[in-house]
Amino acid sequence: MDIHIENLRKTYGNQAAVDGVSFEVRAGEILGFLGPNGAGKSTTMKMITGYIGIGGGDILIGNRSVREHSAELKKHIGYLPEHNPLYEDMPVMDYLRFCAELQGVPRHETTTRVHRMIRQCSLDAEKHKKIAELSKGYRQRVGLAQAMIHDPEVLILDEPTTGLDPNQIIEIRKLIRELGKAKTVILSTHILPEVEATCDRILIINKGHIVANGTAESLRRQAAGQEVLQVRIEDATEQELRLDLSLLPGITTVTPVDPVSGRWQIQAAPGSGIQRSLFRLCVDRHWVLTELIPVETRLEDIFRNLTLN
Amino acid sequence: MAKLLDGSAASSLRAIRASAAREIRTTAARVIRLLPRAAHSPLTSRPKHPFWVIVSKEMGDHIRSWRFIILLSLIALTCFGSLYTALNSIGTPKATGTGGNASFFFLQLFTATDGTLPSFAIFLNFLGPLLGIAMGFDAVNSELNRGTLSRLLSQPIHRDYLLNAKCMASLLVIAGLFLALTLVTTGLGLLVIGIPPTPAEFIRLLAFTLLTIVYVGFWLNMAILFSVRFRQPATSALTAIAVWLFLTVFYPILIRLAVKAFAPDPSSMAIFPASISGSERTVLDMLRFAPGQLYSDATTTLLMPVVRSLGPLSMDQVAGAIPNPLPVGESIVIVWPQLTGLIAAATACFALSYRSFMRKEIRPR
Repeated sequence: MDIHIENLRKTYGNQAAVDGVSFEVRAGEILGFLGPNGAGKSTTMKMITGYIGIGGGDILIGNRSVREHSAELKKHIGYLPEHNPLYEDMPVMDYLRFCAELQGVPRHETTTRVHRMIRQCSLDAEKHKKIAELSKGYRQRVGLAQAMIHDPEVLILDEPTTGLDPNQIIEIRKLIRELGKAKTVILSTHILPEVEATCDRILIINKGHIVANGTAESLRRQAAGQEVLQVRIEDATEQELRLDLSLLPGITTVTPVDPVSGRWQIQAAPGSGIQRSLFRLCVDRHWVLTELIPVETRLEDIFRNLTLN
Repeated sequence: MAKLLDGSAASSLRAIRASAAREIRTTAARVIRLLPRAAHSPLTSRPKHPFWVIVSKEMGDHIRSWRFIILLSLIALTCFGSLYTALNSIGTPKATGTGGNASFFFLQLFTATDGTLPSFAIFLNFLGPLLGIAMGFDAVNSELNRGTLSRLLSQPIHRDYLLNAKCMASLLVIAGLFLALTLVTTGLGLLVIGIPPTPAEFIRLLAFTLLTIVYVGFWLNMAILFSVRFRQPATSALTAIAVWLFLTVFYPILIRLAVKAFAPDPSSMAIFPASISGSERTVLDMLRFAPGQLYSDATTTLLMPVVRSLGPLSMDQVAGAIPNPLPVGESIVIVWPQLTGLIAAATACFALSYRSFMRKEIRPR
């Protein structure tokens, strides 16, 4: 089920939380939704799930508008909200059964679904406990289980790995990647490596506007504008290296990283073929090229650049 | 010969057993063959209606909650206490209650008292509102504060299902509780006094139970209304208790004071007795704005068949009247205004809370 968002807006009083946001998510795609606190991520997600009303614009899920078919579309959406409110007095099994029944799961399938979710979210040891007795990580798993209990085609996960230990995080990421093969997944998180590890595409939102949309690779290319290499050349003096490297075509800067061991960082215009000309230089001068590492722009830097300005 | 007979009897018994076992096996096999079909019958493949899903959950929550268990224990204790005093007083000639009418002996269990404890009906007039308030004061606002309300409303359900289901679940629990208490009291009374209730008495007891459910239902709906209006459960609980205290304690005092202030001179009352009954009637009419008074009037009429009227009667009115108890139908006709008044008050409270809830902006946390 594809999600198509057109010029979405939402205001709280005089403040525009979401201001003309448009994007698309295709079935079988995992979209990473990034943004600083108060950027409008959760508000957008809540509007998609019908948690709150739409201020302006429209959301089409499977070519049907959320405005007109809200109740019907809710059956196809699984949502894990940021604060994950749960009925704390209920045991895990009863809560999941309640959620399944509310979502219209047929009676003969309810027990099977509940057991499947308990297995998938590793809740077996805690299934008879009251939710109030669970740790934050287990509560998060209960939230995930309830979001997936009716086997929805669209999954909206607002910070799903908050409170989980590293082993659980890896398990949940694996689960999301598995689910993302067949479902449409929108995932919001502040853990940037998680987005890279899990998502097919990244969307960065700031102050209610989309500021970046693309794969991690394309965002890096857009943000860098320069090709950056770290090199280590042996059998050459510092002066020789500084002079000859700066004379290479397309080179913009040459910075020593560790001149004693011959490590330098060079920046060149993209597409200038700097690796090839560097190799030829070393051959001509009888220098030994022992390292040639392309330096990538970190996603964190891209995020900071886009959201701080 | 006897041994032979014994042997043939044993063998025929074995044959019967074997045939029965065969029959059981065949039937079990048939049932097992049918099971997969039953598992996917149209009934099981249909999802449960979300309204009843919420009703079941709410009923479970009520029954497991400490406040319900405490109030249930209190009401059950008072019920058994009142039953004990009623049984004691029935044994003495000074029993108060049905007016000494021996034909409605069973109803005395609910009205008779020896003075140490009030009767069960009076206890219910006092404790019933507390039960209704306890079950409704945080119905909506606690869910709103926990964030579960918006979570629930993001499911594919209609918004009003939530309020309707909460009201329905509480009413079902209240109905179950009072029906069970009435039947238990009836059963215990039957065991102790050994006289079964007549059909008329049984109908009166059922009508009394229905009336109690409606009375507690009014307080429940009022508490739900406050739970929709006020964000903090403590505020809604205090407001509901304040209203209950006012209507139960202060309102009758105020009415009596006001009527006394505006009543004619006592010396003229001796000359015009009609003015006495007029003044009494005014007091009663004013008191009937309080649900407790309506309930009290109705229970008195239903449980004491000799009560023929709920207002002051003049000598002219009672002249020639045969002092017989009223049939059930006529007692119900007398309490009909009280019953409909309570139903109307409960419905008005529910309508207000429904309107308020449907218009409320529910923002997730």
